[in-house]
Amino acid sequence: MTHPKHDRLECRAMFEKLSEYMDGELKENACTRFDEHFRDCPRCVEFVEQMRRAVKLVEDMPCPRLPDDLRRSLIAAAESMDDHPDSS
Amino acid sequence: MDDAELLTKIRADEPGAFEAFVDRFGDRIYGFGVRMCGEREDARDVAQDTLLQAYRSLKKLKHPEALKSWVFRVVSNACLMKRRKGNYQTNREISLDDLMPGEGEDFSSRIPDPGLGAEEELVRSETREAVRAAIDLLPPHYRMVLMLRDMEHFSTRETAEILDLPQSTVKMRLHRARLMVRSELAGAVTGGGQP
Repeated sequence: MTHPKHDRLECRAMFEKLSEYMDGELKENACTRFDEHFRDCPRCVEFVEQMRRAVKLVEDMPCPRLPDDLRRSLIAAAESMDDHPDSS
Repeated sequence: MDDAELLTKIRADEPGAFEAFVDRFGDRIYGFGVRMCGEREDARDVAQDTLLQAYRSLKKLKHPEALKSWVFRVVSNACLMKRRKGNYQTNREISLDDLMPGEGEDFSSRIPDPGLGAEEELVRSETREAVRAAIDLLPPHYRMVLMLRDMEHFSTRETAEILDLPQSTVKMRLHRARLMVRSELAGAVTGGGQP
């Protein structure tokens, strides 16, 4: 993630805290350091963009549906528990 | 119906309370089980055990706002128990150095933009398959944090409470999980790996 204007240590410092930056969990002065770094480091900007897309794709994954037969058997089991509350 | 109303219905043993509970959490608990346990049969066991166990115990829950966290604490524990019965895997943390991208890696390669609505169905389907594979490749203790944070949208604090971990560990595992998913997706798009 290095850029001629920056040494590897600065890019690495960004790399370590990137998720916290993306999630808004850093203090304001730390965010400012990130923003300043990104103004001069296009490779880090590209990397952040890839990270944002990866996170969004994970967020957008559809949830598998509870199978209908399992739903029916669960409801039957719950009704049976209601009929025999001490059997559970 | 919000969580407070659902909890009131459950506590009062109202007709249809369990169905409402399954409607609210059934898909999400099953989906969590599928992604954590892999095997559909294991996921069925997890969903069955979790939904019934959670429902039985919910009447004791004092704070409606804790409902979702509490349900996911139960399902997380059920998944961990399944893991312990299966192959033992340690919760070894992966070094950040191992996840640093190489100097020559090209970050301009396009991970598909999720915001592009015009994406063709085939591309969308292939992308989802790549994301699913990337998530499946994660070590389970990283996958669980990623799912709670990025799929279930729990906060860092809530995730830490659900998993009984320090917040710093949640942050560390989430970041590594995201880095690994990014790396897999970038590799999938560019044809796998860098020169």
